[in-house]
Amino acid sequence: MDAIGVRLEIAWAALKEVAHRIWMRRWRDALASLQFALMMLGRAIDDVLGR
Amino acid sequence: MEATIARPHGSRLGPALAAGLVLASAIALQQVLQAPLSRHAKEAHAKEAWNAEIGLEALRQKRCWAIEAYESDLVRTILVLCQIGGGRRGLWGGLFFRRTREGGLIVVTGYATTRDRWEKVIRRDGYRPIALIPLP
Repeated sequence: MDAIGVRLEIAWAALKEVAHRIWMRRWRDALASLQFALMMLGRAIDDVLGR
Repeated sequence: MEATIARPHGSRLGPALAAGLVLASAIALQQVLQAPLSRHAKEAHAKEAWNAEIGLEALRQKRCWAIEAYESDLVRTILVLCQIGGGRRGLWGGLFFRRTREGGLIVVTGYATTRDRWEKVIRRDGYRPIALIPLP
């Protein structure tokens, strides 16, 4: 369970980064952070499913 | 006949001494409290304040107590850890970088947490330590 928490913590930080970068109109940076956030969310789901 | 007590006049030394004493006590108290308070601010609230930009700035200004770098082939990410607090909690800020197609690095996010939680991140995502060449 703790590993899921760790991944969600990182994903949440990355999503906040996306919002900040959209606000700053740094589209390319926002996209990079979004990719990373989605990857971390995907890994959290993997952990939940036990894969 | 009433007895009169002669009042000393011209002596304002008493109030001045009292005021000085109060001021000195206030300064001493502030000095005693300042160090633990600023340590508390750095450690307890660093998690809220830390993000990618603050992290980059901390690295640029060499404000980290210690720096470590890791790379993971599993998540294709470089993680740079910057120690921002000592003590039992061992607070570290982390910056995640990814390589761009042009060969550069882009910081994707940054946040702070305790050392034991970073250890879990390192273990889970297969981060291996990489050499960090210090700037001159």
